[in-house]
Amino acid sequence: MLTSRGLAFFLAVLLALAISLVTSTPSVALAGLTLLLWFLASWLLFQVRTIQAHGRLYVERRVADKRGPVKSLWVGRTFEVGARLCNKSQAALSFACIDERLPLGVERLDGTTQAEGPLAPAAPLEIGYRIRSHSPGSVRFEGLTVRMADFQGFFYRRVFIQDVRDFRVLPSLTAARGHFSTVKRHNLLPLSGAHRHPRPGTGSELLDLRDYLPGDPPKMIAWKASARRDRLMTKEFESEVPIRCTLFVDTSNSVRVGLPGKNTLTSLVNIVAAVAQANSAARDLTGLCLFDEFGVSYIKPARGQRHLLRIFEVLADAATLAPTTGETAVAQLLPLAHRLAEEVYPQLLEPQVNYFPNWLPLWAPQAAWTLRRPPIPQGTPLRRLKESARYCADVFRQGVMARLSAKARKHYRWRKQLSAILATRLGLGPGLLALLLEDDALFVVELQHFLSEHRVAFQLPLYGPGNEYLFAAPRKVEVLAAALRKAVARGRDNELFVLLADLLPISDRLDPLLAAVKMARARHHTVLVVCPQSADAAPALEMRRTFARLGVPVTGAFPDESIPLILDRLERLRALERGVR
Amino acid sequence: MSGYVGLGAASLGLLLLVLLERGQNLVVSALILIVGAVGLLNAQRLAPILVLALVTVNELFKQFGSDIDLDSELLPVFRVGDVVLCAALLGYVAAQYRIQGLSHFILPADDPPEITRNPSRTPLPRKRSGHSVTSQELSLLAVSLPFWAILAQLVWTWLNYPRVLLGWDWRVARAAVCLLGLIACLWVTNHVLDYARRRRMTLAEARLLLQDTLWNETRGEQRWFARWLAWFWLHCQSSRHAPRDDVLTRSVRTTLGRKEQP
Repeated sequence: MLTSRGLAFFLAVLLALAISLVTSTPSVALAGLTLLLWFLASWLLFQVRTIQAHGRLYVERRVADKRGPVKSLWVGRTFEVGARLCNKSQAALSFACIDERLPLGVERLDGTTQAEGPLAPAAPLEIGYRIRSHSPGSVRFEGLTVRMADFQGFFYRRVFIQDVRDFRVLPSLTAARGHFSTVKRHNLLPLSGAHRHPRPGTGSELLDLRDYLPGDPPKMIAWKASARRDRLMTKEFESEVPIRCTLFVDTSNSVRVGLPGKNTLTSLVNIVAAVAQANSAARDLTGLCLFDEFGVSYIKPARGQRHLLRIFEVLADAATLAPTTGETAVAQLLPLAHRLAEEVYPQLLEPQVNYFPNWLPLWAPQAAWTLRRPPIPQGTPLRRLKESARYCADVFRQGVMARLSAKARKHYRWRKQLSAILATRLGLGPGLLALLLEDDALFVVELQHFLSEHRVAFQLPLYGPGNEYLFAAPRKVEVLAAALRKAVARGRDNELFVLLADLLPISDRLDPLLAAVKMARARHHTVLVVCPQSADAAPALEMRRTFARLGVPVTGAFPDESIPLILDRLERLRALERGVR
Repeated sequence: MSGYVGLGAASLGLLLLVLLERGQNLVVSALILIVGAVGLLNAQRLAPILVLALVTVNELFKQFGSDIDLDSELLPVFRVGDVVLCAALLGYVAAQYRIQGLSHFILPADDPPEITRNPSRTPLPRKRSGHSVTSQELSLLAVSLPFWAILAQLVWTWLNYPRVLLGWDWRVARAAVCLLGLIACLWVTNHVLDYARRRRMTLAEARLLLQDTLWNETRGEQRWFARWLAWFWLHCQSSRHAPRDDVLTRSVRTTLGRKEQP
């Protein structure tokens, strides 16, 4: 690309040359020819160098902590990122400036994300900096932006060297609120009607003393009691029955709404991580069930560090989910997506590979009868007339304005270029390209996936044309109820089921879930509901009462409130398992 | 940067010497010196073009002020003074632009949009840092200056070769040959570079090019099919009274085979 400086110089030289040729001034003609030849040679050299380097630049990246390279990041910890741009072509670039596209969701603490200089095969450009992430999810390093120029600044080219690396950001391991109380509970009284059910085991509470039997380990001998009774006595400890806790986490669109890392889903993930960590510390079993309106993903209750790490990984993946809706306007997302493509895929927007016929908007703009229109209740003639008038307006806009308006033509070009990139990424060829050009809803959904994959935040409408809430996801109630029934069927002892779900927008459609909760309660399981909204809010009170009738507490998804409540329920269950049936 | 300032100053001095040796006007020479020196010290953006313009105007005045026979001037004579003048002018211009790259900017304002960027990143630098200047690039520039001046002499000799073109005046014919030669060179070079660029395509670019070619060939048929499909989905939505997302997501999932998490 010729810069403004290069263009000005080129025109000045051409002008001087033309004047000298017409006026036959040899000295000026020679000077003009000298400058022109030097300029053209610089252009040729720059082009040859950039073509030689094209496809032969690559990135070497290293993400490490103090102990060495890592595969996952942790919330709140500091990691060092190092990237190196290497050139394996034979030609060296005279001047290159690299710039790291710092992922969203991480904070750069120090170091530099830019470097410049000549890029020779033996002399790569390097950057290094330290980052810290504040929320679970994932961090995506896209690659490096390389801006090349000649020494004079006449020619310029910007490319993006792809080096996609995804790192999970796991929830923090040191949640202060995620620990059980260590106070001993000696004064728990058995509930009325319950019977003692002592079981010897390997716990820490003393259960009984008995006569020594051959084979008992010597460390279990109660020496003082043996001395008093003049025979060997052996200590027996209570059994520590592990509690199974299954956490049902809502990952539907309703909790994904909001900025990545600051939405409701992140709060739920933090709560689940803290509870899972506390359970793991107490050697309890933790299960996880992620659900949305389409299905569930289930992890059986288990314990151990490996299981905890697996839960964290699944939670980190879930925290990156972004909401999608086909009701978004194309013009709202198109500029943002095109800017992202300009930044990350500049090579794929070049007309040599992504050609756009400029006459296409004149010849075939999007048809009016494929445009979405807000639904109008049918019946009265007036409303039919309104619908017809709106259709006529669409026809006029697509037939006239879309052909003549510069903005519409620009948007058409952007849409074609982005559709081509999306179709290539999905591997579905020109069929999808044509479909994306005509179907608004499909196009915006694909754009939303494209943006969320690159961790770019975008705005979404919360309410549809009929003033309905778009992210209620009512079908998730049936999915959750089915998952709960299945978990109850799998359950063994008294278990704790924690439902972390956004049920408020669909509080009038909870019947399947209530039936499943009743079944769980009938089998002596404990159920707890954690709602993202405050449980004290006016609309939530009714839902709270409904669940309270079944003996199910409802709490808000606030770490200070919900984590202690869940752990308290677990502690109660543990006490029951230990001594009381 | 001091190396380039030195080269620019030397070139400017040489330029003035050549001009004075040719008996140029002292005022114009002093003006060239002032403009060139100020441009060097302050890295003025217009200084190279101004110096070129002053030299051109000076030569033009000299040409029109004297009664030199144009035909005798047209003879392809290799003159050392011209070579030195051209090399000095080129040296000054190149040094001046490189100084501008070091003090003002070498990269144009082509920053990607801030909207997709992390707020904790630093703004992109546009100028070249002084420590990246090597003595090798400076010496290479200085050595190459006479080469370009001599090459220009050869091209000028070729341009001045007597030729008849459509019965035009010889000056117009020369200008036309120069223009056509430039266009032809650029056209051929551009196509050769395009070919080389295609050979260097990455897999993603090649795939996109193939897809784009196929789409261009079948654009009309694909458009009609896609329009009816889009209309069908809209019709499904309205007839089933189902939310758009339900119909759409199901269609997209079945069409694209996307698997989301969880």
